[in-house]
Parts: sequence; C-alpha cells; structure tokens
Amino acid sequence: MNYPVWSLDFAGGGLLIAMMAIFHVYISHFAIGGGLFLVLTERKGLRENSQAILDYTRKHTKFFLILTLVFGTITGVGIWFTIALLNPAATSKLIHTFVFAWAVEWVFFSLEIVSIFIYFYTFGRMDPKKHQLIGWLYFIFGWLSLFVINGIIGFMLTPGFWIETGNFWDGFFNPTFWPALFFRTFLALMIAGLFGFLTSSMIKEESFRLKMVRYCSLWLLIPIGLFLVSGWWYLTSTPAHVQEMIIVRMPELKPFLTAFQWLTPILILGGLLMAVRMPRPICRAMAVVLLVVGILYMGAFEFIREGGRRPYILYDYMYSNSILKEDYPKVRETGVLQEAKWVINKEITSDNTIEAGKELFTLLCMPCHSQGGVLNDILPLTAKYDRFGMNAMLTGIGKVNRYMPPFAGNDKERDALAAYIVHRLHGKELTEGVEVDIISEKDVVPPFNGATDEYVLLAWNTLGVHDLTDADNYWSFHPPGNDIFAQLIKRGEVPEVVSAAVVVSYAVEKAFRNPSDHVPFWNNTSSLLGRMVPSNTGLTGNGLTGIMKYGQQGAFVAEGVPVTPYPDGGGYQPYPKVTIEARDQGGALLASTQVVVPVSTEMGCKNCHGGPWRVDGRAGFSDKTAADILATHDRISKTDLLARAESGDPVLCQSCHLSTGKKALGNQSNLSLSAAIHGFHANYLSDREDDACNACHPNNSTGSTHFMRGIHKAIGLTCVECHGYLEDHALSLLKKEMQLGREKAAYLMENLSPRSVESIQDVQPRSPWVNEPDCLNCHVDFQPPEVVATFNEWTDSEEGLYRNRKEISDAIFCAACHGSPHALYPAENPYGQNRDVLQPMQYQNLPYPVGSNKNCSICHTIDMEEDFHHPNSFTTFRNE
Amino acid sequence: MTPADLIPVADTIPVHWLWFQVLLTVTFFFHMVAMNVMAGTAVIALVTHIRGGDASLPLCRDLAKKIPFFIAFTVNFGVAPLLFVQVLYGHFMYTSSVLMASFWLSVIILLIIAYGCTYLYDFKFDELFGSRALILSIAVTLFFVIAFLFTNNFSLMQVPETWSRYFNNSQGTMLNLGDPTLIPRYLHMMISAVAVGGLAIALYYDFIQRRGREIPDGRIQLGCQWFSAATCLNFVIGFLFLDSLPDAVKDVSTASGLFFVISLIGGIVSGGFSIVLGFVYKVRQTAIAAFCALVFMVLVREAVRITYLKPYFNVTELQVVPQYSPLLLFLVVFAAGIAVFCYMLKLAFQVGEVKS
Repeated sequence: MNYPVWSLDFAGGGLLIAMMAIFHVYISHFAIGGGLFLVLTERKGLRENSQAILDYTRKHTKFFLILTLVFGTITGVGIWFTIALLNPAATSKLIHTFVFAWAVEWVFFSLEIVSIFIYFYTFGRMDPKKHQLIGWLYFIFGWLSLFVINGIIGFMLTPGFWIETGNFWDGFFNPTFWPALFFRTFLALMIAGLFGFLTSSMIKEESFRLKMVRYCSLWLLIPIGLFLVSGWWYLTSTPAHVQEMIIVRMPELKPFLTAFQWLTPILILGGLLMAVRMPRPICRAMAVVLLVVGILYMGAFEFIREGGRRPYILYDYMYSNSILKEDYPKVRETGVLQEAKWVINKEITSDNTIEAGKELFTLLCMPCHSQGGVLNDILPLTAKYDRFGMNAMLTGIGKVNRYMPPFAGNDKERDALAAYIVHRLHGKELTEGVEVDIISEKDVVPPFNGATDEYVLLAWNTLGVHDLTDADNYWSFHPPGNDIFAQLIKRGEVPEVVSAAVVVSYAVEKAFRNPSDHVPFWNNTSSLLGRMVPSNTGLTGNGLTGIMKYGQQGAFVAEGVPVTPYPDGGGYQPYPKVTIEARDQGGALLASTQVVVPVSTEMGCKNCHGGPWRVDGRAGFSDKTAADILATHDRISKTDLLARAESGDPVLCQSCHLSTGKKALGNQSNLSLSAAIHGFHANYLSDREDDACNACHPNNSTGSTHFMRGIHKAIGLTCVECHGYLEDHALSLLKKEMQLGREKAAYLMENLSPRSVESIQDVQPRSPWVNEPDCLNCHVDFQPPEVVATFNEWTDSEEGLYRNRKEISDAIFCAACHGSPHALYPAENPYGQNRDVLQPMQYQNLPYPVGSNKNCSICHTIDMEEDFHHPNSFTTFRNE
Repeated sequence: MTPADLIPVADTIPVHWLWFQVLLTVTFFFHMVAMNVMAGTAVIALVTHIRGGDASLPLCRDLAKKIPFFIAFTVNFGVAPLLFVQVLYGHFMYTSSVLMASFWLSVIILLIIAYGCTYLYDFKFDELFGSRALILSIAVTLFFVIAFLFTNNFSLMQVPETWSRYFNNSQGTMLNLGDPTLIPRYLHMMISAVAVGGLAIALYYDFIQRRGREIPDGRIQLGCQWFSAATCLNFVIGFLFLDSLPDAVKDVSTASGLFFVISLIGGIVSGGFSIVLGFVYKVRQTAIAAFCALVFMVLVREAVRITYLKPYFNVTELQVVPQYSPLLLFLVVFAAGIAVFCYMLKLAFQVGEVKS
C-alpha cells in the first residue's frame, strides 16, 4: 500500500526469496556447525597426532572459507535485498524495530570474517592452542549471529507480547526463540556432517577416508535425535492456530510436511550407510546425494515455517499484502485504491474497472502469487471462475481458508478485481448471465362441474421445489423424490374429507417416467445408500405412477416419487405435471385433478465451482462441477471423496452430515448438512441480498426454474424477508449446532455477522426443516401483515410448518387451498400461465386460493356467511 | 498526483536520529575506503596485466591474495551503512530499489560471480597463465557494473519527481539515466577508487618496508603515481559533478548548502594536498590528506542528499518511540568486538606475515 510493487509475473509467488533463502540458510547453517566441525576436527588431529587429519582440516577450511564467504555472505545480503524488494513495508518494520539487533549481528559477522581469515591463513603456523582459540572464536561468533538472527526470524512467526508492548525485548525473546535456537543449532551440526561427507569422501587413502567419513557420520547422527526433539518443542511452542495452519489448513504445505517426514529416515539411513566401507566413487556420489537431501530437508522446513505465518508476513501484525491488521477496518471503509499511494485509478468507474482491477491485483495478489510461474500460480487457481464466482471467492478468502488475507477493499473494488482476473488473466467475457429462453406452454385446466360433480380433489407438492442433485457419480444429497399430498372432499353443505373406500392414484406425465435414462442415481445406489434401488423407483418404493396411501397426516400421500426434470424427448422441464385420480372401490372415477411436481437441477454450484450445465446449457451438474466440489471438500476437510468417487464409490453427503427432521440421516458428530453448506457458503456470499440465495437455489432471475413463483414474489418479497440474509440464515443454523456441542460450527461463525439483528447473541438457533418461518408471524391472526419481516421467529416443531398445518377445524391442509410453499396461489409459472394454478382454475376459474372470493360453494355447494376455516378467509382476495 | 503523494510513510525510530546519522556516515566512510581499495587494486592489477611482462607478475600475485579480503570487508562494511540508511531513508531507498528491482537484485548474482573470479584469480594464479587478465577483467567489469547500479539507486532515491515513470514500467527495469549528475557522480566515485587503490598499494609496501622486509623496487612510487594521477583526473570529474548539481545544493544561504560548501572546500583542499604529497611519494602524509578528503567527500554526499530531499523530507521529522537499551547493547558489543578484533590481530601478527 505504501510502496510500489515489482511486477514479477512468472517469477513471483515467492520464487526469488525461496531460491535465495534456501541456499543461504543451508550455507549459513553450515557456516555455524562447520565452524565447530573445524575446530574439533583440528583438535582430533592434534590429540591423535595425525598430520593427515590436520591436512584434511586445512583443506576443508579452504572449501569452507570459499563457500561461506562467496555464497553464504553474499546470499545473506541477497535475502535482505530480496525481501526489501518483495515486501518493503515488512522489511522496513524489521529494520526499524530491530536495528540494533542487526547492528549487533553485524559486529558478530565482522568478527566471523576476521577470525575465519586468520584461522585459514595461519593454519599450521600459529601455536595450536591459539589457533584453536581462533577457531572457537569463529564458532562462537557464528553461533551468536544465529542467536541474533533467530530472534528476528522468530519474531516474524511468533511476535508474542510485542504486539501489545512494541518492546524490542518482547519481540526478540519471543515464544519460539529458545526452541528455534536449539533446533537450528542441531541442524547446523547435522549440515556440518553433510558437508564433511563431501570433502572426506574425496580422500584417496581408503582407510583414512573411511575413518573420516565415519567421523562425519557421527556429526549427522548424534544431533539428529536432539534436532527432532527440539523440532517438536519448536512446533508446540507456536500458537495453536499456527499449528493448525501448518498441519491442517494449508494444502500447499502438505508436500513439504511429507518431504520432512520422509527425508528424516533417509538422512539417518544415509548417515549409517556412509559408515560402511565402499569404493570412493560410490562414497562420493552418496555424499553428493545426501547433500542434496539435506538442502531439500532444509527447504521443506523453511517452507513449513514460512507457511505457518500465513496470512501474515509479520504474524498477527502485518498481512502478506503489507496491510497492517489494525488498518484493515479503515482500508475496507475507504477502499484500497484511496489508501494506496502507488495507484492511478483512485475511483472506480465503468470506464476504468479493468485498469483499477489490475492495480488492485498488483497491490493485493501479486505479493504472493505468480502468473504462470512455479510457485503460487494464480492462473490455475482462478481458472474456473466467472466474474460472480471470482467475486464470491474474494469475499470468502481469509475466512474459511485462513492462509490468505481477507480481501481488503470495498465491494466495488472486489468486483473490479474479479473482473480483471476473469477478463484480463483468463480472457473471459464479462457478460452477466444470459437469460434462459423459456417457452410458456398452454396448460389445459382439468374439468370441474360445480353443479354435478360430487367430489373436489385437492393436491399439492409438499415443497415449492425439490432440489435434485444429479451428480450421483460423485455425490448426492438430494436423490430423486417428491412428496405428493392429496385430499378428497365430498361436497355438500357440510363437506366431508374422504379417507376410506376410495383409491387415489397418481401418474406423472408419461415423458417423465424413465428418470433412470436421464440421471445416474440408480447406477450408484449401492454406494450412496448401501442398498440397491430398482430403476425408476424412489427410496420409498414408489414409482412414477402408483397408489397414494391415506396416512396419519389426514391426506393421501405418495412419498419419494422419483421425478426428474428431464423428459424423454430431451430438454429441461422443472415442472412436470402429475395427474391424481380418485375412484371408488368399483373403479368409477370420482374426481380428477392435476398438479405440478416441481423438481430442479438448476443449483448454481457451477457459479463458483466451475464447469458448464450438464443439460441444454440450463441445468444439471456436469462432472467438472461435481468433481470440483469434492476436490474443494477434500482440500479443506482432508477427505478423499474425489478419489473415492473416481473409483466408483460416490457418497451421500448425509452419510457424514446429519440431516434433521423426520427423515434424519447422518453422523451426529458432524455439522448438519444444512448448517455446513449454509455456514460455509455464507462466508463467500456475505453482504449480499437475495442474490446470495439465488446463486445456489434455482431462483436466478435469468435462470431456467424460477422456483419462487407464488404471491409473495408477485408483491415483491424475496427470500430475505422470511429467512433473513444468508449470514442470518447460516448463523441461526450454526448456533443450533453449537448448542448441540458441534464445535466445528464456531470456525464457520467466526467471520459472520448477523444483519437482521444486532449481534450473534440475538440470533435464535434453529434446526433445518424443523424451525422455519411461521406465516402467522406476519399474518397475525390471519390478517394482512403490518410488518413484513420474520427472521428469528421460528416454528416450534415440524408440526408447525406450513406444509404440515391445517386450518382451524384440523381437516384441510393449508396447502390444499393455498398451494405449495413458495408457490402460493396465485402463483406465476414461467412454463405456463396455468401450470401452478391448475386447481384454483379448475374449481373456481380464478388463480386465487381455493375458496377465496367467497367461493365456498366449491366444497359446501352453497354460499356461506362467515369465516370458518380461519379468520379473514371470508373475504375478497386482496392482491389481485 | 504529486511526487510527494508517492513517498511512503516512514517507520518510527527507537533513538534520536543523530545516532543513526553518525553511524551511517562513519560506517559508510569505511565502506567507501574498503570498496575503493577493492576496486582500485583490481583495476591496477588488470592494467598491470595488460601492460604485460614478467615483471608485472609479482605485483599482481600480491594483489591477487588481497582482493578477496577487500571484497569481504567491502561487503561487511557495506552492511552497516545499508542498515542505517534504511533506518533514516528507507522509505526512499526501498522505493527506488523496487523501481530498479531487476537490476538491483542482479547485484547479488554479479557480486557472487565477481567474488568467485577473485578467488579463482588468487588460488589458481599460477595455473591460469594467459587467462589471468580475462578472469580479473570479468571481476573488474562486474565491480564497475555493480557500482553503476548502486549509483543509480542512491541517486534515484533522491528524485521522487521521476518516480511516476513506474506507472509505465513496473518490471523493475528503471534506471536514473536521465539524471545529469549520474555519470559524473559515478565516475567521481570510481576514479576515486583507482586513486585509493594506488594509495593502498603504496601504503602496503611502505608498511612491509617499515617492518624491515625488502620490497621490490618502485612499488611505493607506483602506488603514489596511480593515486596522484587518478586524483588529478578526479578533480576534473569532480568539477563536472559539481556543475551538474542543482543550485539549491550549493546555496550557502541554507544550512545544508553552507555545510556542503564548507565540506567541499575541505575536500578540495585536502585532495589538492594529497596530490602534491603523492607525487613526492610521502606515503603516510598522502594517506592522511586523502583520508581527510574522503571524510569531506562523504560529508558532501550527505549534504547533497539532504538538499535533494528537503522538499519532501527531513530526518528530523522521524518520529522517535524511545527505547535505548538495544543501543546500549550494541555499543557494549561493539566495544567488546573491537577488543576481540584487536586480540585476534595480535595473535595473527605474532605468526608473522599472513600467508596462504
């Protein structure tokens, strides 16, 4: 923000510092351990009165001198140069905070140079005791340099009390100071052994070579145990969230952790093998290999240490994008571009969106990401996104995956950055969603003769739409299965709800009776459900036609009808119709009607997970989308779902994530499916209106389903008025999970703030599919609402849900007259003007609730004079 | 957007700025001396090779053993002023470094190659034969390239009014080539190196001679001649450099201008004396005069920087968040380090002349 950013493109992503640092750290540790190696080896030569050992020590010193001075010293300065170029703000902070520590280190560095020169150039000519003293002084100054640098490096990872006090000593003697010092000291000794292998393996005389190589083996093998113990001490001295970041959260660290685990035994084995007598070329080759293994080992450690600091460059103080943690709220308010010094576009307009996005990219992304480079390449990471998905990703970074800083800018800046990445880096067009062309059909309303017909048959689907997940080759959480309810009413002055001596059947439109030809569910039921389910049969055994059973609910029911939105002729139709017929026991038709069984595969996962629609460019999960969802789950939750799916073993999400309500499934210890999905995605889709809901649920204004099609939509209500904003919705679910002792909810809640109420304390916990908005919250006593907002007031139980409730006499379901949830009469269906009002049109030739406008005679055969079913029912429909 | 808008906010400092100014000036002086000796002796050795003849080899062999030392100390003495200049002027220097980042980082690679060449030149002197001049010329060329990049950076940091070029080039390939002071400044610095390199040769052989050992004929004179001749040339370059500086730098009505002029006069006078003394082979007197000239020139350099940055920044503006205990630690360690340094040198000299 303060400084210009060097555009590195492919060389970005930390490549430069990695190259410079790994070499320097390896050699500088050699400079310390090797110093002790020199003086102790010299002492060994003197004690054993061995000129051969002394000659070897002198030659090793020459090698040591050149390597440590030419490469060690200069790459040390190189690290300084590099960090100042890549993150000048952090470098400046380190310099200004620890200037006198650096200065002290400079004194030790100077003395190191003087002492090693004297040691080398007086070798064999100075009194042995004095010469060893010079050697000891070299080692001591080298180790003191480590002592100082270790304090500063440790500060970057664990600044400890410095965050509060700003005190030099608090920062220097930080929580990992001592364990890191021991860790690095033992590592330095091991590296001395590795470099010792290199020079000792070149000794020509075999027995002496073997003796010295074995001597070097001890340098590797003796410290390694202490090194591992101090490594454990080091790791456990870091804050819990740093440990979590290293071990659990950062996917990029996995290969380095694995490397560290594998290379440790390799080094031990190598050290043991080197002690075996072998020909010189093999010995030399092994020495070189072990030296390379050593640098890989060191590199793995340095990557892990750097990774543990994420998303900070100076832990808990300055993010890796150079913005101070304490400045974040201000930057978010005023905007990155306003706060940054090195930008041209201070304001975003429609003309400069891409250019402003580029500047934001430079400031916020480039510090860590390369473009097409070896490390942290942003191109594959962002390839799947369109503008919306990229925007959502930017909203969520730093919230769930906390190894990246949260997005620092405001909404416009986030959009501009998303536009830049999508358009400029990936060459995608920025057009918003193109409206899907929907052909509206003319539906024939079933006949009804009010004068002669003896029965009224009312039917409805229990949900406004069944969200079908047709990604069954990979996973599933909503297999095919719509629930259809029907009530048969015998007309009369006192009508009667018929419950017996009739046969009520259902038959889904013919074109929809072969769903197994269109979705892979039936190929995967063994894996998904642990049992075989016959083709074109639902989980309850119901098919696409059948007999409805009269249940305790007080209605004829066909549960789990496996309808899909794919007709045999091709295409996508989310509103198939089902014909319901009631016959007497002799088979004579008593009544017949039709109703839609809404089912949609237009779930917007692809908006963020990439991939196209599977069917006709308008709905369905493509393999790419489905696989990416699993890959993301695997990355974040350390699962192997994608591998399982690709080996033919897809999973049902509820096998781990509990679903609640009467169809409860799943594992009690994990978050419920609804809480997990909403809680996770709310972090990515926060600060939005109902577009957050419609991004996933099939109600996009340009989409192919438009599932919210009832009267509430017509008068301008959205999901938000009843369910709250996505953050509210998610928090209410997550709070319930917390109450149930599922602590994982806390992680998802941490970055969510409620919007409909003041604080999280004010959010009423709720179980999904049980505690839902109650119509009577707004329609108090069935009257027109005075306030249209009902978030936080939930039904007490499933019995209180709209789809399960009945009118006052407890005979007729609310939905029988008002229609399915989210499709309350008069509903408008884009696939046909009458499609969602077939029964109101059939019985009263009006699209309004059945019996409205005082159409009591539909059932009562005569006009009535007062409310009966509920207050305010004996009136004229007011939202015409 | 004004140049001032681009200048980053400075960090706070733990002690009064004067501490850092003194440490910067003193350590920079030693860095300059070490760098001058390093580059200057390397140039003289190279010219001696080019002039040819077997007679030149002993001098070159002697210099070959010393040049890696001087690189080590040039780097070592460079670390300290680089540290202190970042404390006082980091927000300028980091910026200019980023603007020329590709070149600036290449310094490390170039230095490793140059350093490696000098060790090759030293340890393989006898085996190299005809390649000696080639190897040394690579090192010398790289020294000069590195110096040019340093001159670019430390002049670029002084001219925020040119920084907006970044918006057309963020690849880190900006240099300060449009600055009229750049070339004279660079040449002034590098010709000074040749002069001090000559003086270092004279001083070295004078030291050997005074310890009662024989030295080849003409070495002291050769060194003095290199010094005086180069310094004469540097007077010309120096006046070109002076002419290229903005008038504000030389404005005696300002404190920094007055400081500049006084330091400059001190430098010219002591430099003039050193030339004369060099031509008459008064080695130690020449060294004292040259020492004074270098001190004055380091002060001149500071005065120039202060004036350049005056429209934007003054070190007195740096906010102090006091914490003196680390300074105390440094002073104690520094003093102890000097004592240990002296002790180690004493042990080394007890052995006799340091030989590889």
